[in-house]
Amino acid sequence: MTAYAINKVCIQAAADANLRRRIKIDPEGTLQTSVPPLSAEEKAAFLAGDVAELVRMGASRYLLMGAARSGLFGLDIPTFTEKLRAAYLADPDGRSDISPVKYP
Amino acid sequence: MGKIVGAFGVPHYPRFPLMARENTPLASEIERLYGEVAGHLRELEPDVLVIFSSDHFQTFVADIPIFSIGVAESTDGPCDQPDLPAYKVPVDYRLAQQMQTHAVKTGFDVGMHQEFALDHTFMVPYHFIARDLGASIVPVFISGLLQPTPTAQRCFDLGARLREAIETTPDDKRVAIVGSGSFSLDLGGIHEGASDGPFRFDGVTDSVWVDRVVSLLSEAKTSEILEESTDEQMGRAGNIGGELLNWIAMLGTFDAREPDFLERQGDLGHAYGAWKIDGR
Repeated sequence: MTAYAINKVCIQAAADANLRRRIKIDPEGTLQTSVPPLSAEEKAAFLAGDVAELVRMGASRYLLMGAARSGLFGLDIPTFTEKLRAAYLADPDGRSDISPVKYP
Repeated sequence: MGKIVGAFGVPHYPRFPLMARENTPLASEIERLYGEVAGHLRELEPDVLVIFSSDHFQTFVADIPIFSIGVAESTDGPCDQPDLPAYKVPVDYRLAQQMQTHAVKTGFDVGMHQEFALDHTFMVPYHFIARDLGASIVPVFISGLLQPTPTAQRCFDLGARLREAIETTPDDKRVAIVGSGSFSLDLGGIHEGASDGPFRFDGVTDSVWVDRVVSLLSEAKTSEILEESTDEQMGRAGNIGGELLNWIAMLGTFDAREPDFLERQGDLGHAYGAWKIDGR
C-alpha cells in the first residue's frame, strides 16, 4: 500500500480521457488493472468516493481534487469538499491526518 | 558574458488566461498586474528567461527530483490544461547545459531533464509576460509541493549558483529570471468550492503570511524571508505554500534590493513583482 499507487490513478486519469471514460464505465475493473496495484482498502475507498479515507492513506488532496473535477468515483467539487469538510469537523485537530494544514 | 538584467515574480493560477478574456473587474486586474510585470520585462530586452517553478506532477510523475534543469532545444505546453493557449517554446540548450554543468561541478547536484512538456506553472507566466518577446527559456524545476521539499536557504543558494553560471557564460546574453507561484494557497482542501472567493474557492489559509512576505520583499529583507520560510510556516500556507521557494530561488540570483514594482492581488495569496537590474 503506497500513496504513490493512489496518486498515480489520479495523475493518469487527469492526462488520459480514455482512462477517465473507462473508470466511469467500469470503476472496479479499471482499478483492478492499476500498476502498481491498489490494496483492497484503497480500491474500496476509491469506489466509495471516500476522499477523506484516501487522504488518510496519504493521497494528495490536490490530485484527488482533479479526479473530483472530472466526475470520477461519484465525486464532483461540491461533494468532494463536503466530504473533506465533514471529516475535518469530526476531527478538527487533524489527529487522523485529514487536515495536515491547520485551517483557520 | 551573460548578464542578469532583471528578476520577476508572478502567480500561475491556471484559469487566469481564460478569466482574463472575460468582461469582469477581475479580468482587468489580471491584465493590469501581469501587464505591469510584462512592461518592465520588455524594457530589459532579455534573450533568455530562466523560470523557476514547481511542476504539479505533470512533467515528473514517478520520479521527482528536488532540483532539475530542462536541457533541450525546445518544449511546449501547457500539458495539463488543454483549453489554455498552447505554445512551442525554444529552450536555450547551451545556457541550460552550462547552468547544469556549473551547478554540478561546483557541488550543487542538479538533475537534467531532456525531453519534456511544461505544465501551467511555467506556461501561464509565459503566456502573460513572454509570449511576444521572442526570448528562449530555461526551465528550472524545484520540488515545492511534495515533502520533503528543499529548504528556503538551499533554494536561495541554487539561485546564487545559477547566477554564477549565467555570469560566467562566454556568450553575450541578457537573462531575466522568473519565480512562479503563490505564497498561500490550499487546493483540494475544505475551502474548495466555497462560494465566497473570487474563483468559487478560497484556499488562502494564511493571509497574514502573504502580507508578511510582501512586506519583506518590499523592504529587501531577504535574510528574514529565508529565516521565516520554514516547513511549518509554508505548510500553514497550504499545500501550494511551497511555491514560495521559486521566488526565493529567484531572489538568490541578484543582490538584495527593493523591487521596482510589487503588488499583492487583493485577498489572494500571491503577488506580482519586478526588479529591474540592468535597464537599457
